[in-house]
Amino acid sequence: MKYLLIILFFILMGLLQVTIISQLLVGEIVVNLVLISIIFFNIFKKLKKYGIWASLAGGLTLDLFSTLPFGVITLSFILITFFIQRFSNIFKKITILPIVLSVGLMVVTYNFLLVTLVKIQNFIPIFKWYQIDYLSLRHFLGIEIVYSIGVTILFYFILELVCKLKNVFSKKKI
Amino acid sequence: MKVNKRMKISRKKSKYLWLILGIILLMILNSQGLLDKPKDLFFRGTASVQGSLWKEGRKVSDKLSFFSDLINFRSEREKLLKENNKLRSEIAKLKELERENRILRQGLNISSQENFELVLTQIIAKGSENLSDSIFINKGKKDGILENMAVVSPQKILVGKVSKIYDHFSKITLIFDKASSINVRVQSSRAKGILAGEGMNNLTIDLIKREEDIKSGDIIITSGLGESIPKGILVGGVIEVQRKDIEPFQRAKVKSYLDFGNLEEVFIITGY
Repeated sequence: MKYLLIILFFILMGLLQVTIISQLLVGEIVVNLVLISIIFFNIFKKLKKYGIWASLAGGLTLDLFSTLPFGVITLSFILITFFIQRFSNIFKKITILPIVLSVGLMVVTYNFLLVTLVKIQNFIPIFKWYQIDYLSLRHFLGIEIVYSIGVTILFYFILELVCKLKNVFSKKKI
Repeated sequence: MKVNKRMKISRKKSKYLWLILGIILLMILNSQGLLDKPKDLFFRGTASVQGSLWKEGRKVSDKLSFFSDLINFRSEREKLLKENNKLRSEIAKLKELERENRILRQGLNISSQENFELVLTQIIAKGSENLSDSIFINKGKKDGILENMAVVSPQKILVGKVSKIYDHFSKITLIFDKASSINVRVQSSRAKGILAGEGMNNLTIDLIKREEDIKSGDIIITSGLGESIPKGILVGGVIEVQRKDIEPFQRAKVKSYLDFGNLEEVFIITGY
């Protein structure tokens, strides 16, 4: 049941991304809220087991609306999940710093993965050729990193506030 | 204990492997067009949510842009007043030319070139990553839309081309997308070139012969050569010309006249 809820949540996140978030531009740049949510899901120990399903649902939803070859966003999200789950153990305590570092690093990794995967699929004759190069990343990567980190900090403090309120109310009940 | 841990890791790795193989299979099925029906079903199921979310996004974006617009208000106003005066005189001149043109066309029995058959569509979503520029509209194959048809704004400015059609929806590749290339010409000198998307609202015209006349401020229109986009559709204005002595062609940077931020509906040219 929980898995189904996570999948539905990420489909909704994907829809939010292509409708509302895609219109909230900072210097013509869109922030990838699905990617940030996936990082959150994979970095916290309690949520880690849902990480892969989050990547699958979020990735496939975004793939449906993208002009990039179908599947490359999902594949990138799965590889991102693999990287975070592998390396997040090096952080003893999950505070804001490791999250911000992970988001910054993963935004770069995600975009490089997208270009690399499209380049690989261009070599396979059954797939359509798609014009792409690493140089196009220079137009937006810097702003996307800053924008993503800003949204992440906001996300983190909202989550912390929610947790604190939850604790206050549960203590009152006792 | 160690064996257990190793088994757990290898099980996890095989899960990733199976998922990756599954997605590669989906990619192959998609390349053969076998996922078109399920995709159309998904879009139909979520269309009403998408439509209302898009409208909400429009409202939020309008409110946020209000503050940034306030900062540039004074300089923008002065610029627009100057432009307005210039355009008024041009409109008067053009009206006169239009009247002459109509009389001549009637005399020569030639029909007007701007009799496009248009289908009005609503934008319901936008591509989600910074590497590509695409939008989704709520009309598809069953509404007479075909691949490669031209898409224009209500002001008849070129928006892009239909790149993928489903039964009830279509994907539009915007002119800014890296995969977009369109035959264009300079309105005044008639110099021809290829307009290519550079991403992030950037456009360039390539393959303009060295001897051709092109300068900053020139208006760019479609040339209608060898494609389904009719000629004469407004694209944008030249902002910079790049000329090198050793190269046989010139390049020019173009700014589209399209105000994408305020675009809610687009027209598909289904016949001309």
